[in-house]
Amino acid sequence: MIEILSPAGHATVQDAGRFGHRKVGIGANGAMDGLALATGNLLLGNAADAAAIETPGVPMRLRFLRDAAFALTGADCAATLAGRPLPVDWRDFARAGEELCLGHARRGVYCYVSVAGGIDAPLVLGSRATHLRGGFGGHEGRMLQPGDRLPVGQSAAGAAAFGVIAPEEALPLAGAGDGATVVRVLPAAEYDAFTPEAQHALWTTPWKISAQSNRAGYRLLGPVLDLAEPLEMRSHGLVPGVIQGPAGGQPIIQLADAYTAGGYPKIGVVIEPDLWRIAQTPLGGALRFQRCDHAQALAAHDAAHAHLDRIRLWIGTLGLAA
Amino acid sequence: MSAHDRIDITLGEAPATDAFGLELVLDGETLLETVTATGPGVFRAHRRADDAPAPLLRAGHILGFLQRGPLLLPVLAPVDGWVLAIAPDGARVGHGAPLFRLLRATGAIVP
Repeated sequence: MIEILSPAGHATVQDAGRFGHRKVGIGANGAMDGLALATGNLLLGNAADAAAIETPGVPMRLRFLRDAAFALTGADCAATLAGRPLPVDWRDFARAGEELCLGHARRGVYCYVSVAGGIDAPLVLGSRATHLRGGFGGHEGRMLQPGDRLPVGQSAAGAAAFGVIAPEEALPLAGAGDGATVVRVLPAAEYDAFTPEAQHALWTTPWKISAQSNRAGYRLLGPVLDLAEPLEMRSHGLVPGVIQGPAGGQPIIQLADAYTAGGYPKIGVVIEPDLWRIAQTPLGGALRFQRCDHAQALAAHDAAHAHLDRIRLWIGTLGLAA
Repeated sequence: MSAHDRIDITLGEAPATDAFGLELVLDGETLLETVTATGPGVFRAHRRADDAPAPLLRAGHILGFLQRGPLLLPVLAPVDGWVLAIAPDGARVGHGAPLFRLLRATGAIVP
């Protein structure tokens, strides 16, 4: 059991996502940084779909009510356990009664506190992810509050403390040298409906992430992406990563809590293996879109899975699983 | 020298590897502690290049890491103190290789 001690901002319980219900209007939700969630579960020997606490880089305190192995992944929130500083992408062990304190994120945005056995929230439509708009899943379908007590599943994980290299070190992607986060993008179905100037701007602009951004989507500031001619479209399915170009407006990237359908033309889609890079770029930061093709997108997917497989292999080799 | 005498020690901004040769004894007690590798690996002084080391470390705090594959194993401070010297970041090391030289926070030198 874990008790939330302080106001937790927009902290929620999230897992890898709720799939298979998009046809009835229920999106996947789940962790904004799926790689961080997967890494935390891997460090603890949890099932890949185990749930964790996701907090958007604001201070938070929680108490372990029993001995538990846990992991911190995603943003570096200057965490301390009973006053002892802890790195991120790290597994450690808490004694019953010890407090874990997270500060403001000093690198990244979304931090994940995973616990051996996972947060044992009820399964709703096959997932423990919080669906905030629907008010279901996670812990009572809402953000976490002081006093909340989260049950934890059973686990035999012991007191081993170790971590993994940073994801940007394991999965490097060269930047433009201007501090913008680079993500790979496939041209989407309506790409050719945009003007050549808009297409050029998509690939060459450092897009600033506006304050009107959240788990549902990031609204970007930069040049207006004009269509070559007006385009009326029926609503169509959306997935996280889709970059929409609203008429006369700024592009929007749909993210974990995205609506399942929308009618804006799609100029591109951020490949799924790079969505974590967006999740860890703070508001006010910049994104650059690097054009890729399907083969490169699949290679990026394979590289992310190979990184996780390598972690699993080394944990076994060094006997750190227990 | 008694424990009541004042001694001033200035620590540089960037600890150098050559400080491994230093020795400092006060009233017969050595004040310097060498932390060695508990196994083979690639020594990582920081998790990321721009991570700043803590000015004062407490016993049990993480000093650095030994990298094995994608995993980072902790190198822990055995005593309270300050880091005087650090082995070269990225060095391949074997069991027993010196990684850190610490000034103990003990006796006349306390945090």
